[in-house]
Amino acid sequence: MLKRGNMLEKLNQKQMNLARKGIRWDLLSAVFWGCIFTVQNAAMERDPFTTAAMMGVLVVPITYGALQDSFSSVMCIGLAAKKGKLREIGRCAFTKPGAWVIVASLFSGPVACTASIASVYYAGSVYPVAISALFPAFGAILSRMVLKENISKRAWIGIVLGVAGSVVIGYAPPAGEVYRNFALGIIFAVIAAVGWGIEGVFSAKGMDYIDPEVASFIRLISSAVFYLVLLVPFVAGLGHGYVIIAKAFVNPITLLLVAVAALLAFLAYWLYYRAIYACGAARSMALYIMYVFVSAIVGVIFGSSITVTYVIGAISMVLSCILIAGKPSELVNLRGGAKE
Amino acid sequence: MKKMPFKSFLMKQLLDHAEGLTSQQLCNLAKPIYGMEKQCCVPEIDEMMMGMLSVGFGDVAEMKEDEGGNLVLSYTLAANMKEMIANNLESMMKKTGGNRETKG
Repeated sequence: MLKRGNMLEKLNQKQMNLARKGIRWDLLSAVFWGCIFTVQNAAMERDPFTTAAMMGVLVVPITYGALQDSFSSVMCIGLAAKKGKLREIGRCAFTKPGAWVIVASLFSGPVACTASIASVYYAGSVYPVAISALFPAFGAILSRMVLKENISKRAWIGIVLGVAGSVVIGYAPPAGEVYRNFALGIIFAVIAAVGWGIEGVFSAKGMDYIDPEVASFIRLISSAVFYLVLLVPFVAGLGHGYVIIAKAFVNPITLLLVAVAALLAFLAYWLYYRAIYACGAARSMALYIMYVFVSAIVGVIFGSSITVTYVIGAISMVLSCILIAGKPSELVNLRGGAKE
Repeated sequence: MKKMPFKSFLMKQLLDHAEGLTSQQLCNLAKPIYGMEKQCCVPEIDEMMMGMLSVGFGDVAEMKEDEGGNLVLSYTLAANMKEMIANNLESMMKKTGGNRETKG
């Protein structure tokens, strides 16, 4: 009897270790994603993107997104080869669970990331980052419906606090900033939030049958393919999108910035998908919005000032993290009867 | 021959071995097919099984301790999930023609 109790304790400990690992992966992923906006902005403020901006609304986000995801895909392939999972990518991609991940990548990359980049481009990084951070709320509702995830009252309060905190942080308009098209930027930010919410849930569904690491590789590679095959050919006149991308290769600084952003994106996704698998979609998305907090800190490092709203938002987000992740035992049983 | 995704293959083994399998046993079953791949190792398999427990797909059939006092778990599919998993794996196998010789 005593021995069985001891073994149950060990089993519980083992399950909690995975949950704790998931929380660490998620927060680290948020750090990488939080750093990406500053680098993306810097890259898009340089040629060929400054010139391309005059060619149409979505030219910059699509060509930039294609370039960044292509770089990330190359990194994925490198890691997959190193970890002996290169064949597994092909094996998984053309199955039903793989299709869930590919659809998730369509919502995340071409839809949400393009919308996110467009929102930053048109309305600056402050408001869009806050609005697009609403995705965990949408994702939590969807994960309850689709995946039947157990979300305790504590976690719900945490999700609401986190979303509120991210909005409060973003709601400190930097004085004197001129936006290219504020309303359009906000619309894009909402599209991004919906796209990322769908991504978290769909990818979790795919990862029920395929390795989360492989799922993250499929996500980045298929996103790059969607960009390069479905979107780039049709922006800025037939085929001209490729010319813009090619021009980036003769701008070493631009290329370096895109490569850095691609590395951040690759690391963020690689960790995020594993976190979704270990902590569940709803909680992972909710913890992941810590990237808004990180993004604001990076902004402060590069000269923005700290406002009262920033401090309030930051406290709210830290509380949110404590509520969501402070009790890893809740992460041992993620779902209450998953169904197809 | 096309192979199934590694995790799906492991689930198929659990479906075929209702008595439960340890990570080591799963690894032994996978070796002839995925043996050259780095992912075919006990720690990777064990983490996948733990993930399956947390989403309610997996269950523990048996627990014991080895000589070193380490917990050795025998995994099985959760009873209420078996049918759904079997259907999904079946449709996947139709597509891949996957690994049928490993049955039973």
